[in-house]
Amino acid sequence: MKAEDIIILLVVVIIGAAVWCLVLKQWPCQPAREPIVEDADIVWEPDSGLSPMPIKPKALPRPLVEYPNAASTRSLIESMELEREAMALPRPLIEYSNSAITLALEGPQTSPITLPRPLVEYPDSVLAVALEELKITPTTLPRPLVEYADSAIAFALRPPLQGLNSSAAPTELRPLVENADAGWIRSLSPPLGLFEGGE
Amino acid sequence: MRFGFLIALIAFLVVLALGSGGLIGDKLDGDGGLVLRQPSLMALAATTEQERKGVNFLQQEAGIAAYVKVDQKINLEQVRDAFKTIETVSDEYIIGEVALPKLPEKAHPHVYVNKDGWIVAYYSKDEPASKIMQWVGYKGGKITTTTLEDAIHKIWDASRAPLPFPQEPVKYYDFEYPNANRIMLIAEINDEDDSTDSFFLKIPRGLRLHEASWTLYHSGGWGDIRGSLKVNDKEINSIGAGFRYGALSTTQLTVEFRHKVKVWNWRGFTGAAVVLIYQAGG
Repeated sequence: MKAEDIIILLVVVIIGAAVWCLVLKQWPCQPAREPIVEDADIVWEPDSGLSPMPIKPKALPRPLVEYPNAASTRSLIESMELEREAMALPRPLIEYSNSAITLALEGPQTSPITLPRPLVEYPDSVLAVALEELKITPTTLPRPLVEYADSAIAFALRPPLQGLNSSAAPTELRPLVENADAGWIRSLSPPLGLFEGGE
Repeated sequence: MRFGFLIALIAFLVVLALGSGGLIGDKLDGDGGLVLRQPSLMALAATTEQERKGVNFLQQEAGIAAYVKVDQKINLEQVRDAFKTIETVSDEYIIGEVALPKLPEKAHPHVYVNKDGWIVAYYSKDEPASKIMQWVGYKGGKITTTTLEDAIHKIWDASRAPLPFPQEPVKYYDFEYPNANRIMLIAEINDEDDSTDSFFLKIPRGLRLHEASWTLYHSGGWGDIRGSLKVNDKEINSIGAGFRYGALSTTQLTVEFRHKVKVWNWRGFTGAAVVLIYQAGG
């Protein structure tokens, strides 16, 4: 055997050893990860067929209570579910309350829903009433704006002579009188029967 | 060309003249169907019949007048005693002066009464029409009577006629201004010490005002009592107590101006009234 043959044989052996380690033995070979137990009574085998532990819900942070006579924790979800229609609106954050309720503030039915309204939050009660115009005043004439008055009344100012024994037509040309205490207008007509000499 | 223009001008003037005549002509009254018809010249002309009845005297002497026609004969002898003075008397009529209680003599109206049932109370044409304001018994509020109506009722009561007084209201006429068809009376009273009360009066353009007159009254009392009447801050008259009457000129009541009529009172009761005789509707 020549020297060259010996070298070729060594190379083949080395290559074969490398392939064996890499493919069949997963080289580089590492030691087992199991803890080394010595002198134990019972050793749990990882291949005993047990399923993985279920993942427990992550616990909410809770107040720390020490030495109480009694303690109870309730979920606010139940009351919240009763008011699902209000879920979309931002709500006040309430913590550690024994109970809670959320009521939606309905728009007053007597007021126009299209008008802008004041935003009211957390009142005990609320009432909105539409301010109606005074029916006794002319609606077409401009009027003074009155706010927060206890009561109000408006009268139409008429010429003082109208209706005071006036026999003149209201539309005819006549002197204009304002603020007089009393007066009247009467027709002037001749005593024709007297002129004509008859009855 | 010129001839055609001349014809057109003449036609225009003729149409204008006819239109003016229409405006001046009789007008319908707007007070619910009452037609005011001016007495024609024939009716106003003195006739023998009118002289016999004394009507021509009314046309010549009377100014503002109130009248009523009752549907029965009037016994002239019975009403004679109701007159303070008799001015003219005949078998057909009586003309005299009637005294009204508490009124001054200058405010006593004349009354014409004939046996056919005509009673006409009037002031002469040189007296202001404001004398019709009856201050006696008036304390404010609605004006329900005048001195002329009171005089008519006084004659009527003296006649002791069996039938009641006519239901229809007493009518008015101004013999001095036959074209006038309206009379307006405006009253203002003031019973607060040292205070002024006022009203405004405006004569619109187009209204023909024939006469404007005023009256001032003060109830009187103890102490220095006064009342005054001002038009546009110009004093028309002042009074201690009693009755005053006068006329307002056209310069004092210009058209289209808001005249302020003020009544001042010091103790007691001051009243002022303005009476306008005018032609409405043309």
